[in-house]
Amino acid sequence: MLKDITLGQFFPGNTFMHKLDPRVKLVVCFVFIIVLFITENLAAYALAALFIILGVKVSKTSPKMLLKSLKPIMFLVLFTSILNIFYIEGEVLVRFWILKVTKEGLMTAFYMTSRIIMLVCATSLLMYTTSPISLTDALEHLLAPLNKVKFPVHEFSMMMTIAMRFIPTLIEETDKIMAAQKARGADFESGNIFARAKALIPILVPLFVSSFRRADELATAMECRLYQGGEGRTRLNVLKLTKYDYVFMVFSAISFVLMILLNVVGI
Amino acid sequence: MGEILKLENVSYTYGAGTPFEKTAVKDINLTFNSGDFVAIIGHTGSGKSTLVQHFNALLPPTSGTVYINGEDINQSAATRRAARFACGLVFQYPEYQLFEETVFLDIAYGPKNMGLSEIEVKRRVLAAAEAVGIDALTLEKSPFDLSGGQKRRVAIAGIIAMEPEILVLDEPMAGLDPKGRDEILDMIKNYHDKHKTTIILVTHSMEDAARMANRIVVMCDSSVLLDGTPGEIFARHDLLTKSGLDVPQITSVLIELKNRGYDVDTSVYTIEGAKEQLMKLRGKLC
Repeated sequence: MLKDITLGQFFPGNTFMHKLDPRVKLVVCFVFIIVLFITENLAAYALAALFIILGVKVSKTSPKMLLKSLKPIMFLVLFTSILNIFYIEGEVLVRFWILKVTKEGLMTAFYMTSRIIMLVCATSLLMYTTSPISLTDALEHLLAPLNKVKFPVHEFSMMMTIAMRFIPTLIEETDKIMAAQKARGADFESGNIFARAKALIPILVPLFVSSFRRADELATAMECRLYQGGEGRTRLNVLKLTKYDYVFMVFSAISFVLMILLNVVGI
Repeated sequence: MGEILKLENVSYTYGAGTPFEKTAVKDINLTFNSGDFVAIIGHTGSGKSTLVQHFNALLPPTSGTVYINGEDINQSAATRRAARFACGLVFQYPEYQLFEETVFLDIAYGPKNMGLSEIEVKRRVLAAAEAVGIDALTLEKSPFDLSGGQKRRVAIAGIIAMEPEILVLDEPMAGLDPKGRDEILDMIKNYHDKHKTTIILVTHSMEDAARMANRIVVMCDSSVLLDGTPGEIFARHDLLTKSGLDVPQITSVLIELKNRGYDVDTSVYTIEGAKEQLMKLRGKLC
Protein backbone atom coordinates (compact mmCIF):
# COMPACT_ATOMS: atom_id res chain seq x y z
CA MET A 1 0.00 0.00 0.00
CA LEU A 2 2.89 2.33 0.76
CA LYS A 3 4.39 1.68 -2.63
CA ASP A 4 1.44 3.53 -4.18
CA ILE A 5 2.72 6.91 -3.01
CA THR A 6 4.11 8.47 -6.15
CA LEU A 7 4.40 12.15 -5.26
CA GLY A 8 8.07 13.06 -5.12
CA GLN A 9 9.25 9.97 -6.93
CA PHE A 10 11.96 10.48 -9.46
CA PHE A 11 12.07 8.44 -12.65
CA PRO A 12 15.55 8.61 -14.12
CA GLY A 13 15.69 9.32 -17.82
CA ASN A 14 17.64 11.10 -20.47
CA THR A 15 15.08 13.31 -22.17
CA PHE A 16 14.99 17.03 -22.84
CA MET A 17 13.01 17.54 -19.63
CA HIS A 18 15.51 15.56 -17.57
CA LYS A 19 18.44 17.53 -18.91
CA LEU A 20 17.00 20.93 -18.04
CA ASP A 21 18.52 22.95 -15.24
CA PRO A 22 16.48 22.27 -12.08
CA ARG A 23 16.37 26.00 -11.30
CA VAL A 24 14.70 26.70 -14.62
CA LYS A 25 12.21 23.89 -14.16
CA LEU A 26 11.38 25.01 -10.64
CA VAL A 27 10.84 28.63 -11.65
CA VAL A 28 8.80 27.70 -14.73
CA CYS A 29 6.64 25.38 -12.64
CA PHE A 30 6.13 28.13 -10.08
CA VAL A 31 5.23 30.73 -12.69
CA PHE A 32 2.92 28.24 -14.40
CA ILE A 33 0.98 27.80 -11.17
CA ILE A 34 0.73 31.57 -10.66
CA VAL A 35 -0.51 32.03 -14.22
CA LEU A 36 -3.07 29.26 -13.64
CA PHE A 37 -4.42 31.15 -10.65
CA ILE A 38 -4.62 34.58 -12.25
CA THR A 39 -6.32 33.38 -15.44
CA GLU A 40 -9.88 32.17 -15.79
CA ASN A 41 -10.47 31.58 -19.43
CA LEU A 42 -11.29 28.50 -21.49
CA ALA A 43 -8.74 29.11 -24.25
CA ALA A 44 -5.99 29.90 -21.74
CA TYR A 45 -6.72 26.67 -19.89
CA ALA A 46 -6.69 24.70 -23.11
CA LEU A 47 -3.25 26.15 -23.77
CA ALA A 48 -2.13 25.23 -20.25
CA ALA A 49 -3.37 21.67 -20.77
CA LEU A 50 -1.48 21.55 -24.04
CA PHE A 51 1.63 22.78 -22.24
CA ILE A 52 1.37 19.90 -19.75
CA ILE A 53 0.62 17.29 -22.42
CA LEU A 54 3.67 18.47 -24.33
CA GLY A 55 5.74 18.15 -21.16
CA VAL A 56 4.48 14.61 -20.60
CA LYS A 57 5.27 13.66 -24.20
CA VAL A 58 8.74 15.20 -24.20
CA SER A 59 9.73 13.68 -20.84
CA LYS A 60 8.37 10.26 -21.87
CA THR A 61 6.49 10.04 -18.57
CA SER A 62 3.76 7.44 -18.71
CA PRO A 63 0.36 9.17 -18.45
CA LYS A 64 -0.67 6.35 -16.11
CA MET A 65 1.85 7.52 -13.52
CA LEU A 66 0.50 11.04 -13.78
CA LEU A 67 -3.06 9.84 -13.25
CA LYS A 68 -1.87 7.88 -10.23
CA SER A 69 -0.52 11.04 -8.67
CA LEU A 70 -3.98 12.59 -9.08
CA LYS A 71 -5.69 9.84 -7.13
CA PRO A 72 -5.02 11.20 -3.63
CA ILE A 73 -6.48 14.62 -4.46
CA MET A 74 -9.62 13.28 -6.16
CA PHE A 75 -11.61 13.77 -2.97
CA LEU A 76 -10.50 17.38 -2.64
CA VAL A 77 -11.38 18.04 -6.27
CA LEU A 78 -14.83 16.50 -5.92
CA PHE A 79 -15.49 18.34 -2.67
CA THR A 80 -14.56 21.78 -3.99
CA SER A 81 -16.41 21.34 -7.23
CA ILE A 82 -19.60 20.17 -5.49
CA LEU A 83 -19.47 23.09 -3.09
CA ASN A 84 -18.92 25.49 -5.97
CA ILE A 85 -21.71 24.06 -8.10
CA PHE A 86 -24.36 24.45 -5.41
CA TYR A 87 -23.31 27.50 -3.47
CA ILE A 88 -22.50 30.14 -6.01
CA GLU A 89 -25.30 32.55 -6.78
CA GLY A 90 -26.16 33.40 -10.36
CA GLU A 91 -28.22 32.36 -13.32
CA VAL A 92 -30.12 29.25 -12.24
CA LEU A 93 -29.97 26.33 -14.65
CA VAL A 94 -31.56 23.46 -12.69
CA ARG A 95 -33.43 23.58 -9.41
CA PHE A 96 -34.58 20.73 -7.22
CA TRP A 97 -35.60 20.74 -3.58
CA ILE A 98 -33.37 23.31 -1.82
CA LEU A 99 -30.50 22.84 -4.22
CA LYS A 100 -29.92 24.85 -7.34
CA VAL A 101 -27.25 24.64 -9.97
CA THR A 102 -26.08 27.94 -11.42
CA LYS A 103 -24.14 28.64 -14.56
CA GLU A 104 -21.57 30.64 -12.60
CA GLY A 105 -21.25 27.76 -10.15
CA LEU A 106 -20.61 25.27 -12.91
CA MET A 107 -18.00 27.48 -14.50
CA THR A 108 -16.20 28.14 -11.21
CA ALA A 109 -16.27 24.42 -10.42
CA PHE A 110 -14.77 23.67 -13.80
CA TYR A 111 -12.00 26.23 -13.37
CA MET A 112 -11.23 25.13 -9.84
CA THR A 113 -11.04 21.48 -10.86
CA SER A 114 -8.83 22.13 -13.88
CA ARG A 115 -6.64 24.39 -11.78
CA ILE A 116 -6.03 21.79 -9.08
CA ILE A 117 -5.54 18.97 -11.57
CA MET A 118 -3.08 20.94 -13.69
CA LEU A 119 -1.27 22.19 -10.60
CA VAL A 120 -0.71 18.62 -9.40
CA CYS A 121 0.22 17.46 -12.90
CA ALA A 122 2.82 20.19 -13.30
CA THR A 123 4.42 19.57 -9.91
CA SER A 124 4.35 15.80 -10.44
CA LEU A 125 6.02 16.26 -13.80
CA LEU A 126 8.69 18.35 -12.11
CA MET A 127 9.18 15.67 -9.44
CA TYR A 128 9.26 12.81 -11.93
CA THR A 129 11.95 14.41 -14.06
CA THR A 130 14.12 16.02 -11.39
CA SER A 131 16.07 14.12 -8.77
CA PRO A 132 15.35 15.33 -5.21
CA ILE A 133 19.00 16.25 -4.78
CA SER A 134 19.10 18.59 -7.75
CA LEU A 135 15.74 19.99 -6.71
CA THR A 136 17.02 21.09 -3.32
CA ASP A 137 20.20 22.27 -4.99
CA ALA A 138 18.06 24.51 -7.17
CA LEU A 139 16.15 25.69 -4.15
CA GLU A 140 19.35 26.62 -2.37
CA HIS A 141 20.45 28.67 -5.37
CA LEU A 142 17.13 30.41 -5.71
CA LEU A 143 16.88 31.21 -2.02
CA ALA A 144 20.48 32.41 -1.79
CA PRO A 145 19.44 36.08 -1.52
CA LEU A 146 17.75 35.25 1.78
CA ASN A 147 21.23 34.69 3.23
CA LYS A 148 21.45 38.48 3.48
CA VAL A 149 18.69 38.51 6.07
CA LYS A 150 20.44 35.78 8.10
CA PHE A 151 18.16 32.99 6.90
CA PRO A 152 20.21 29.74 7.04
CA VAL A 153 19.60 28.79 3.41
CA HIS A 154 22.26 26.10 3.22
CA GLU A 155 21.19 24.40 6.43
CA PHE A 156 17.59 24.57 5.32
CA SER A 157 18.31 22.95 1.96
CA MET A 158 20.56 20.34 3.58
CA MET A 159 17.68 19.42 5.87
CA MET A 160 15.40 19.15 2.86
CA THR A 161 17.93 17.00 1.03
CA ILE A 162 18.28 14.66 3.98
CA ALA A 163 14.53 14.48 4.50
CA MET A 164 13.94 13.65 0.82
CA ARG A 165 16.83 11.23 0.75
CA PHE A 166 15.23 9.30 3.59
CA ILE A 167 11.69 9.09 2.23
CA PRO A 168 12.36 5.94 0.16
CA THR A 169 14.48 4.48 2.95
CA LEU A 170 11.73 5.00 5.48
CA ILE A 171 9.10 3.61 3.14
CA GLU A 172 11.22 0.53 2.60
CA GLU A 173 11.82 0.22 6.32
CA THR A 174 8.12 0.58 7.06
CA ASP A 175 7.31 -2.09 4.50
CA LYS A 176 9.84 -4.42 6.07
CA ILE A 177 8.64 -3.88 9.62
CA MET A 178 5.03 -4.24 8.52
CA ALA A 179 5.83 -7.53 6.81
CA ALA A 180 7.69 -8.73 9.90
CA GLN A 181 4.82 -7.88 12.22
CA LYS A 182 2.32 -9.40 9.79
CA ALA A 183 4.40 -12.57 9.98
CA ARG A 184 3.66 -12.47 13.69
CA GLY A 185 -0.05 -12.24 12.99
CA ALA A 186 -0.48 -8.47 13.21
CA ASP A 187 -3.73 -7.34 11.66
CA PHE A 188 -3.92 -3.80 10.27
CA GLU A 189 -7.08 -4.14 8.25
CA SER A 190 -9.85 -5.09 10.66
CA GLY A 191 -11.34 -3.67 13.83
CA ASN A 192 -12.56 -0.19 14.71
CA ILE A 193 -10.46 2.95 14.56
CA PHE A 194 -8.99 2.44 18.05
CA ALA A 195 -7.99 -1.14 17.35
CA ARG A 196 -6.36 0.00 14.13
CA ALA A 197 -4.50 2.84 15.79
CA LYS A 198 -3.28 0.41 18.43
CA ALA A 199 -2.17 -2.01 15.73
CA LEU A 200 0.20 0.68 14.46
CA ILE A 201 2.28 0.70 17.66
CA PRO A 202 4.32 -2.37 16.64
CA ILE A 203 5.27 -0.49 13.46
CA LEU A 204 5.82 3.00 14.83
CA VAL A 205 8.05 2.05 17.76
CA PRO A 206 10.64 0.17 15.68
CA LEU A 207 10.41 2.85 12.98
CA PHE A 208 11.20 5.62 15.48
CA VAL A 209 14.01 3.63 17.02
CA SER A 210 15.62 3.00 13.65
CA SER A 211 15.12 6.62 12.53
CA PHE A 212 17.00 7.87 15.56
CA ARG A 213 19.71 5.32 14.97
CA ARG A 214 20.01 6.37 11.34
CA ALA A 215 20.08 10.08 12.21
CA ASP A 216 22.83 9.42 14.70
CA GLU A 217 24.87 7.39 12.21
CA LEU A 218 24.42 9.97 9.47
CA ALA A 219 25.50 12.82 11.76
CA THR A 220 28.62 10.89 12.70
CA ALA A 221 29.36 10.08 9.06
CA MET A 222 28.96 13.74 8.08
CA GLU A 223 31.23 14.85 10.87
CA CYS A 224 33.82 12.27 9.83
CA ARG A 225 33.89 13.96 6.44
CA LEU A 226 34.39 17.32 8.15
CA TYR A 227 31.00 18.74 7.26
CA GLN A 228 30.58 22.11 8.92
CA GLY A 229 27.82 23.89 7.09
CA GLY A 230 27.72 25.75 3.81
CA GLU A 231 30.52 28.25 4.37
CA GLY A 232 33.28 27.84 1.81
CA ARG A 233 31.85 24.61 0.48
CA THR A 234 32.42 23.94 -3.21
CA ARG A 235 30.16 21.86 -5.41
CA LEU A 236 30.73 18.72 -7.43
CA ASN A 237 28.09 19.59 -10.00
CA VAL A 238 27.92 23.30 -10.69
CA LEU A 239 24.58 24.24 -12.18
CA LYS A 240 24.96 25.90 -15.55
CA LEU A 241 22.35 27.10 -18.02
CA THR A 242 22.59 25.50 -21.46
CA LYS A 243 21.00 26.04 -24.84
CA TYR A 244 18.15 23.72 -23.83
CA ASP A 245 17.35 25.89 -20.83
CA TYR A 246 17.07 29.03 -22.93
CA VAL A 247 14.86 27.27 -25.46
CA PHE A 248 12.62 26.03 -22.67
CA MET A 249 12.50 29.41 -20.93
CA VAL A 250 11.57 31.26 -24.11
CA PHE A 251 8.95 28.66 -25.03
CA SER A 252 7.40 28.76 -21.54
CA ALA A 253 7.45 32.54 -21.41
CA ILE A 254 5.64 32.76 -24.75
CA SER A 255 3.04 30.23 -23.59
CA PHE A 256 2.42 32.07 -20.32
CA VAL A 257 2.18 35.47 -21.96
CA LEU A 258 -0.28 33.97 -24.46
CA MET A 259 -2.38 32.57 -21.61
CA ILE A 260 -2.53 35.95 -19.90
CA LEU A 261 -3.30 37.70 -23.19
CA LEU A 262 -6.12 35.27 -23.90
CA ASN A 263 -7.48 35.97 -20.46
CA VAL A 264 -7.33 39.72 -20.94
CA VAL A 265 -8.88 39.61 -24.39
CA GLY A 266 -11.40 37.15 -23.04
CA ILE A 267 -12.06 34.81 -25.93
CA MET B 1 7.10 -38.00 6.26
CA GLY B 2 4.44 -36.21 4.27
CA GLU B 3 4.45 -33.11 2.17
CA ILE B 4 3.89 -30.01 4.23
CA LEU B 5 4.65 -27.10 1.93
CA LYS B 6 4.34 -27.12 -1.81
CA LEU B 7 4.92 -24.43 -4.44
CA GLU B 8 3.53 -24.84 -7.91
CA ASN B 9 4.83 -22.65 -10.78
CA VAL B 10 5.21 -19.69 -8.43
CA SER B 11 6.34 -16.42 -10.02
CA TYR B 12 6.49 -12.96 -8.53
CA THR B 13 7.04 -9.61 -10.23
CA TYR B 14 7.76 -6.42 -8.31
CA GLY B 15 6.26 -3.14 -9.48
CA ALA B 16 4.42 -4.59 -12.46
CA GLY B 17 3.59 -1.83 -14.94
CA THR B 18 6.18 0.71 -13.73
CA PRO B 19 9.63 1.40 -15.14
CA PHE B 20 11.02 -0.49 -12.11
CA GLU B 21 9.37 -3.79 -13.02
CA LYS B 22 11.49 -6.75 -11.90
CA THR B 23 10.80 -10.46 -11.76
CA ALA B 24 12.21 -11.63 -8.44
CA VAL B 25 10.97 -15.22 -8.54
CA LYS B 26 10.43 -17.17 -11.72
CA ASP B 27 8.40 -20.35 -12.10
CA ILE B 28 9.39 -22.12 -8.88
CA ASN B 29 8.30 -25.69 -8.16
CA LEU B 30 9.33 -26.96 -4.73
CA THR B 31 8.03 -29.48 -2.21
CA PHE B 32 9.11 -29.57 1.41
CA ASN B 33 8.54 -32.63 3.57
CA SER B 34 7.57 -32.57 7.21
CA GLY B 35 10.60 -32.67 9.51
CA ASP B 36 13.08 -31.64 6.84
CA PHE B 37 15.94 -29.27 7.45
CA VAL B 38 16.34 -27.43 4.17
CA ALA B 39 18.84 -24.71 3.34
CA ILE B 40 18.05 -22.24 0.56
CA ILE B 41 21.25 -20.81 -0.86
CA GLY B 42 21.90 -18.11 -3.38
CA HIS B 43 23.94 -14.97 -3.81
CA THR B 44 22.53 -11.52 -3.02
CA GLY B 45 19.59 -10.68 -5.25
CA SER B 46 18.90 -14.25 -6.35
CA GLY B 47 15.33 -14.08 -5.02
CA LYS B 48 15.70 -16.04 -1.78
CA SER B 49 14.07 -13.49 0.47
CA THR B 50 11.22 -12.87 -1.94
CA LEU B 51 10.66 -16.60 -2.26
CA VAL B 52 10.32 -17.23 1.47
CA GLN B 53 7.74 -14.48 1.82
CA HIS B 54 5.46 -16.63 -0.32
CA PHE B 55 5.57 -19.45 2.23
CA ASN B 56 3.34 -17.60 4.69
CA ALA B 57 1.27 -15.59 2.19
CA LEU B 58 2.99 -12.28 2.93
CA LEU B 59 3.41 -11.94 -0.81
CA PRO B 60 0.72 -13.35 -3.06
CA PRO B 61 2.36 -14.97 -6.09
CA THR B 62 1.82 -13.10 -9.37
CA SER B 63 1.09 -16.52 -10.81
CA GLY B 64 1.15 -20.03 -9.36
CA THR B 65 -0.08 -21.57 -6.12
CA VAL B 66 1.32 -22.20 -2.64
CA TYR B 67 -0.07 -25.07 -0.57
CA ILE B 68 0.39 -25.80 3.12
CA ASN B 69 -0.84 -29.29 4.05
CA GLY B 70 -2.54 -29.51 0.69
CA GLU B 71 -4.51 -26.30 1.05
CA ASP B 72 -4.07 -23.19 -1.11
CA ILE B 73 -3.04 -20.47 1.34
CA ASN B 74 -4.09 -17.50 -0.79
CA GLN B 75 -7.80 -18.30 -0.95
CA SER B 76 -9.02 -15.74 1.58
CA ALA B 77 -7.91 -13.46 4.39
CA ALA B 78 -8.58 -16.30 6.83
CA THR B 79 -6.35 -18.82 5.03
CA ARG B 80 -3.62 -16.19 4.70
CA ARG B 81 -3.78 -15.53 8.41
CA ALA B 82 -3.68 -19.26 9.16
CA ALA B 83 -0.61 -19.56 6.96
CA ARG B 84 1.19 -16.87 9.02
CA PHE B 85 0.83 -19.08 12.08
CA ALA B 86 1.49 -22.39 10.33
CA CYS B 87 4.68 -21.08 8.78
CA GLY B 88 6.68 -18.83 11.09
CA LEU B 89 9.00 -16.48 9.22
CA VAL B 90 11.99 -14.86 10.91
CA PHE B 91 13.10 -11.92 8.78
CA GLN B 92 16.62 -10.68 8.19
CA TYR B 93 17.83 -8.54 11.10
CA PRO B 94 14.71 -9.41 13.09
CA GLU B 95 15.91 -7.41 16.11
CA TYR B 96 14.67 -4.25 14.38
CA GLN B 97 11.07 -5.32 14.83
CA LEU B 98 11.16 -5.44 18.64
CA PHE B 99 8.82 -2.89 20.14
CA GLU B 100 7.36 -3.94 23.49
CA GLU B 101 8.28 -2.74 26.96
CA THR B 102 9.65 -6.08 28.10
CA VAL B 103 11.13 -9.08 26.39
CA PHE B 104 8.28 -11.21 27.71
CA LEU B 105 5.61 -9.01 26.13
CA ASP B 106 7.48 -8.91 22.85
CA ILE B 107 7.71 -12.68 22.58
CA ALA B 108 4.03 -12.86 23.58
CA TYR B 109 2.94 -10.61 20.68
CA GLY B 110 2.62 -13.46 18.15
CA PRO B 111 0.82 -15.94 20.42
CA LYS B 112 -1.53 -13.16 21.59
CA ASN B 113 -2.43 -12.42 17.98
CA MET B 114 -3.36 -16.08 17.63
CA GLY B 115 -6.06 -15.52 20.25
CA LEU B 116 -4.68 -18.02 22.75
CA SER B 117 -5.57 -18.02 26.45
CA GLU B 118 -3.30 -16.17 28.85
CA ILE B 119 -2.03 -19.40 30.40
CA GLU B 120 -1.18 -20.86 27.00
CA VAL B 121 0.55 -17.63 25.93
CA LYS B 122 2.66 -17.73 29.07
CA ARG B 123 3.57 -21.38 28.58
CA ARG B 124 4.63 -20.72 24.99
CA VAL B 125 6.66 -17.63 25.85
CA LEU B 126 8.56 -19.51 28.55
CA ALA B 127 9.12 -22.51 26.26
CA ALA B 128 10.34 -20.27 23.42
CA ALA B 129 12.61 -18.30 25.74
CA GLU B 130 14.12 -21.55 26.96
CA ALA B 131 14.60 -22.82 23.41
CA VAL B 132 16.64 -19.74 22.45
CA GLY B 133 18.46 -19.50 25.78
CA ILE B 134 16.86 -16.41 27.32
CA ASP B 135 16.72 -16.60 31.13
CA ALA B 136 13.92 -15.49 33.42
CA LEU B 137 15.75 -12.34 34.47
CA THR B 138 16.11 -11.13 30.89
CA LEU B 139 12.40 -11.67 30.24
CA GLU B 140 11.60 -8.68 32.44
CA LYS B 141 14.15 -6.36 30.77
CA SER B 142 13.44 -3.94 27.96
CA PRO B 143 14.41 -5.47 24.60
CA PHE B 144 16.25 -2.24 23.76
CA ASP B 145 18.71 -2.81 26.62
CA LEU B 146 19.96 -6.14 25.26
CA SER B 147 23.05 -6.87 23.21
CA GLY B 148 22.73 -7.47 19.47
CA GLY B 149 22.95 -11.24 19.77
CA GLN B 150 20.41 -11.35 22.57
CA LYS B 151 18.00 -9.12 20.66
CA ARG B 152 18.25 -11.55 17.75
CA ARG B 153 17.37 -14.47 20.04
CA VAL B 154 14.38 -12.62 21.44
CA ALA B 155 13.16 -11.89 17.93
CA ILE B 156 13.52 -15.55 16.95
CA ALA B 157 11.74 -16.56 20.15
CA GLY B 158 8.87 -14.30 19.09
CA ILE B 159 8.31 -16.56 16.08
CA ILE B 160 9.04 -19.86 17.84
CA ALA B 161 6.43 -18.95 20.47
CA MET B 162 3.75 -19.28 17.79
CA GLU B 163 4.84 -22.93 17.53
CA PRO B 164 4.66 -23.02 13.74
CA GLU B 165 4.78 -26.29 11.82
CA ILE B 166 7.38 -24.76 9.54
CA LEU B 167 10.05 -22.39 10.77
CA VAL B 168 11.66 -20.22 8.10
CA LEU B 169 14.76 -18.22 9.03
CA ASP B 170 16.07 -15.62 6.60
CA GLU B 171 19.82 -15.19 7.20
CA PRO B 172 19.56 -15.53 10.98
CA MET B 173 23.33 -15.20 11.40
CA ALA B 174 23.82 -12.01 9.34
CA GLY B 175 25.93 -9.41 11.10
CA LEU B 176 26.83 -11.55 14.13
CA ASP B 177 30.35 -12.39 15.27
CA PRO B 178 31.59 -15.99 14.82
CA LYS B 179 30.62 -16.95 18.37
CA GLY B 180 27.16 -15.44 17.97
CA ARG B 181 26.75 -17.29 14.65
CA ASP B 182 27.66 -20.62 16.16
CA GLU B 183 25.31 -20.06 19.08
CA ILE B 184 22.38 -19.24 16.83
CA LEU B 185 23.13 -22.19 14.54
CA ASP B 186 23.41 -24.61 17.46
CA MET B 187 20.19 -23.24 18.88
CA ILE B 188 18.38 -23.84 15.59
CA LYS B 189 19.85 -27.33 15.30
CA ASN B 190 18.82 -28.21 18.86
CA TYR B 191 15.35 -26.87 18.27
CA HIS B 192 15.03 -29.01 15.16
CA ASP B 193 16.30 -32.14 16.92
CA LYS B 194 13.90 -31.63 19.80
CA HIS B 195 10.70 -30.60 18.06
CA LYS B 196 11.12 -32.12 14.58
CA THR B 197 9.74 -28.89 13.15
CA THR B 198 10.37 -28.42 9.44
CA ILE B 199 13.09 -25.82 9.17
CA ILE B 200 13.95 -23.75 6.12
CA LEU B 201 17.16 -21.79 6.50
CA VAL B 202 18.04 -19.06 4.03
CA THR B 203 21.75 -18.37 3.90
CA HIS B 204 24.57 -17.64 1.54
CA SER B 205 27.12 -19.57 3.52
CA MET B 206 27.82 -22.99 2.05
CA GLU B 207 29.57 -23.99 5.27
CA ASP B 208 26.47 -23.39 7.34
CA ALA B 209 24.24 -25.10 4.81
CA ALA B 210 26.53 -28.13 4.69
CA ARG B 211 26.69 -28.35 8.45
CA MET B 212 22.99 -28.03 9.13
CA ALA B 213 20.77 -29.15 6.31
CA ASN B 214 19.79 -32.53 4.89
CA ARG B 215 18.70 -30.87 1.69
CA ILE B 216 19.93 -27.81 -0.17
CA VAL B 217 18.10 -25.69 -2.72
CA VAL B 218 20.35 -23.41 -4.77
CA MET B 219 18.75 -20.28 -6.20
CA CYS B 220 20.25 -18.36 -9.08
CA ASP B 221 18.73 -15.54 -11.15
CA SER B 222 15.24 -15.95 -9.65
CA SER B 223 15.02 -19.70 -10.35
CA VAL B 224 16.03 -22.94 -8.69
CA LEU B 225 19.41 -24.00 -10.06
CA LEU B 226 20.03 -27.14 -8.02
CA ASP B 227 18.04 -29.13 -5.48
CA GLY B 228 19.33 -32.16 -3.57
CA THR B 229 21.33 -33.51 -0.65
CA PRO B 230 24.52 -31.61 0.31
CA GLY B 231 26.62 -34.36 -1.30
CA GLU B 232 24.77 -34.05 -4.60
CA ILE B 233 24.98 -30.27 -4.53
CA PHE B 234 28.67 -29.97 -3.79
CA ALA B 235 29.51 -32.54 -6.44
CA ARG B 236 28.37 -29.89 -8.94
CA HIS B 237 30.97 -27.37 -7.87
CA ASP B 238 31.50 -26.24 -11.45
CA LEU B 239 27.89 -25.02 -11.63
CA LEU B 240 28.07 -23.47 -8.14
CA THR B 241 31.17 -21.47 -8.94
CA LYS B 242 29.56 -20.25 -12.13
CA SER B 243 26.56 -18.91 -10.24
CA GLY B 244 28.81 -16.99 -7.86
CA LEU B 245 28.73 -19.40 -4.91
CA ASP B 246 31.47 -21.22 -3.08
CA VAL B 247 31.75 -24.82 -2.05
CA PRO B 248 32.78 -25.49 1.58
CA GLN B 249 36.51 -25.00 2.12
CA ILE B 250 37.08 -28.67 2.83
CA THR B 251 35.43 -29.62 -0.47
CA SER B 252 37.57 -27.14 -2.39
CA VAL B 253 40.69 -28.77 -0.91
CA LEU B 254 39.52 -32.13 -2.26
CA ILE B 255 38.64 -30.62 -5.63
CA GLU B 256 42.15 -29.17 -5.89
CA LEU B 257 43.64 -32.59 -5.02
CA LYS B 258 41.55 -34.18 -7.72
CA ASN B 259 42.65 -31.53 -10.22
CA ARG B 260 46.23 -32.49 -9.43
CA GLY B 261 45.52 -36.09 -10.32
CA TYR B 262 44.75 -37.72 -6.97
CA ASP B 263 41.77 -40.06 -6.79
CA VAL B 264 39.42 -38.56 -4.18
CA ASP B 265 35.65 -38.16 -3.89
CA THR B 266 34.83 -34.44 -4.31
CA SER B 267 31.26 -34.67 -3.02
CA VAL B 268 32.53 -34.77 0.58
CA TYR B 269 31.71 -31.72 2.68
CA THR B 270 32.49 -32.66 6.29
CA ILE B 271 35.84 -32.81 8.08
CA GLU B 272 35.21 -36.47 8.96
CA GLY B 273 34.43 -37.37 5.36
CA ALA B 274 37.53 -35.55 4.16
CA LYS B 275 39.67 -37.29 6.75
CA GLU B 276 38.40 -40.62 5.53
CA GLN B 277 39.19 -39.69 1.94
CA LEU B 278 42.68 -38.53 2.82
CA MET B 279 43.40 -41.67 4.86
CA LYS B 280 42.26 -43.79 1.94
CA LEU B 281 44.48 -41.78 -0.37
CA ARG B 282 47.41 -42.23 1.97
CA GLY B 283 46.80 -45.97 2.06
CA LYS B 284 46.87 -46.05 -1.73
CA LEU B 285 50.00 -43.94 -2.05
CA CYS B 286 52.16 -45.65 0.55
